[in-house]
Amino acid sequence: MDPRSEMYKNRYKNFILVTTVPVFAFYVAFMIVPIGMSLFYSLFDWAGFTADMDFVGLSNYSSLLFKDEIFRTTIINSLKYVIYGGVLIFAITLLFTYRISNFKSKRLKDFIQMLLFVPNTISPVALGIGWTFLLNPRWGAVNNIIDALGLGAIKRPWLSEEFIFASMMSLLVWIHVGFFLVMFLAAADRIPPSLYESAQLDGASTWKMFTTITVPLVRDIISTSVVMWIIFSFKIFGYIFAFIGGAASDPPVNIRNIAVQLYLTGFGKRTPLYRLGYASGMGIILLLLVVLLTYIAQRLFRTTETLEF
Amino acid sequence: MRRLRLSEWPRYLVSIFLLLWIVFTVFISAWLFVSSFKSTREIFQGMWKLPSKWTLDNYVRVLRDFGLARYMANSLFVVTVATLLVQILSTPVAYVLARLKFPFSPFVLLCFIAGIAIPVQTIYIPLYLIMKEIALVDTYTGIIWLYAITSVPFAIYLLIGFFRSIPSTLEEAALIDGASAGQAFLKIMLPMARPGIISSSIYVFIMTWKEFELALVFLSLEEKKTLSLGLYSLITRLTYTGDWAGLFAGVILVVVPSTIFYILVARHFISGITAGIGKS
Repeated sequence: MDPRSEMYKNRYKNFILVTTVPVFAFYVAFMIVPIGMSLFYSLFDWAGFTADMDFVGLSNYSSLLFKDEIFRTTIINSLKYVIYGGVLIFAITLLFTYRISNFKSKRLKDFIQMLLFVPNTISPVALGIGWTFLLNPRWGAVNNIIDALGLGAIKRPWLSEEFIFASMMSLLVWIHVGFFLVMFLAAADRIPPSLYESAQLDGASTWKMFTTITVPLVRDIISTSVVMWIIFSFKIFGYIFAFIGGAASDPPVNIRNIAVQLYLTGFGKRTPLYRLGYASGMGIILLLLVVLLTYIAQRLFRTTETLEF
Repeated sequence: MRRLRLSEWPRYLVSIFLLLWIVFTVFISAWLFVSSFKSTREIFQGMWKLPSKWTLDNYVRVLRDFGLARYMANSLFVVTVATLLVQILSTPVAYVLARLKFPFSPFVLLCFIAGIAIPVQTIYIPLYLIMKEIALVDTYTGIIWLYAITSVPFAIYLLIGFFRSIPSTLEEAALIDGASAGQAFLKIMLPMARPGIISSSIYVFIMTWKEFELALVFLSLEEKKTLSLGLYSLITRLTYTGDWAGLFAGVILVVVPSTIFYILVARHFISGITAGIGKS
């Protein structure tokens, strides 16, 4: 369609007016305007939906960033989830892409893809609690398996303060490898086989072909995936919330991220805090971190690209 | 048999890793499943013994006495309506943004795409106030609306990819024949974009089905809770009574239907998602 043609333009005007305009208006009202409202609230001391609001300027932010040690821990945890989690997930996903894209059988390929994706379709609450069953030091499957293999020495209290972050991370990695694998494999499948043929004649190993042909050609999808992971990981909530059967108490500080801390501050659970201005400040910091990391990630991929080509 | 080649060692190594990963995944699923038939005492006795008798007691208990059936019905209703609503809202918009230029169209597109990155927690508090103001807290309408509006950005993103991949000749022909924009969209574009609409519906359905954080804030009445939230309140109640067996059954009841659904639609889903993302 030629978008400049007057005839079409007129005919589409009403269509745009009745479809796009209202949806955009709703979207702005329910998702964009609230960001502004959060920013506004974050300048107030506000102890509950019915309480009065006291203007305090940026003091919520200075407390959040410089005084509140629990919040600082949750920022660090959020960054650990995104960075450590990202490195593990993408390293494993790349390795699996390497192996699976070399499968001859399409059926086996599809089956493994499907199997590893399943955790992404399951309620985070079910996975959070299921994973703690698995890691239960007394009757969980992991320690039982370790015992059965006669490796008693590597048994650990997986849910103790010391290991709980790693346990949480293992769940997140296990889930998301399956997600990104689907994307990587689809991208790898689009590479024309002819590109591999001459390398094969030269006797290149599958690993060599993977690193020199496949990886550079799926770079786009890797960069999209990294951005998606940044967005996903900051939002992670249910897994953490339901971990250790979470319901009996607030989730331990060791595994809390900003998103969970914000909920606890704003809406409370065991001990409602209802510090709404303060929690709004957390929300703004959360959003800024997502934007900042997304920007950095995109810059990183762009610069390496220009260096290489 | 193929000869082992030294230069292929990374492949062998990764094969072992992949195999372990798969075995682990299958094994823990089986363990969860088998344990859900045990009594709490049997669960504590270790994993290697099978249940002394295979009964559905645990399942009956969580479904009936703890209301899991109700949560499921709620989720089915809420998620189905929300998914339909998302498609009704996003399909025409995606079409417009993929095909037409109008004042501010790049800006509108950018706003929608940026919405994918907004963490719902950032807007928790204002949203709560807005929803309270329009009396939609603790209502099906409210949660359906929130699911729909928060899913719109990603649905649009996926659908734009599809609309861009459809050739425009048919649509042009229809317009030359005097069809209105609405007719061209409904009669020509919609049927052609069907695979895209199906896969974005599946995506929205699955993501909303497992949604937890919005439900946690906007639904507190027991009889309106969705499945994720219901399972969460089940955890609270069952850990107090020490009924771990019931909890295993609850988890299985949440996991199995979504897994079966996913397996049934996996083909559409995987190809749809990757095609949509690749193109936009």
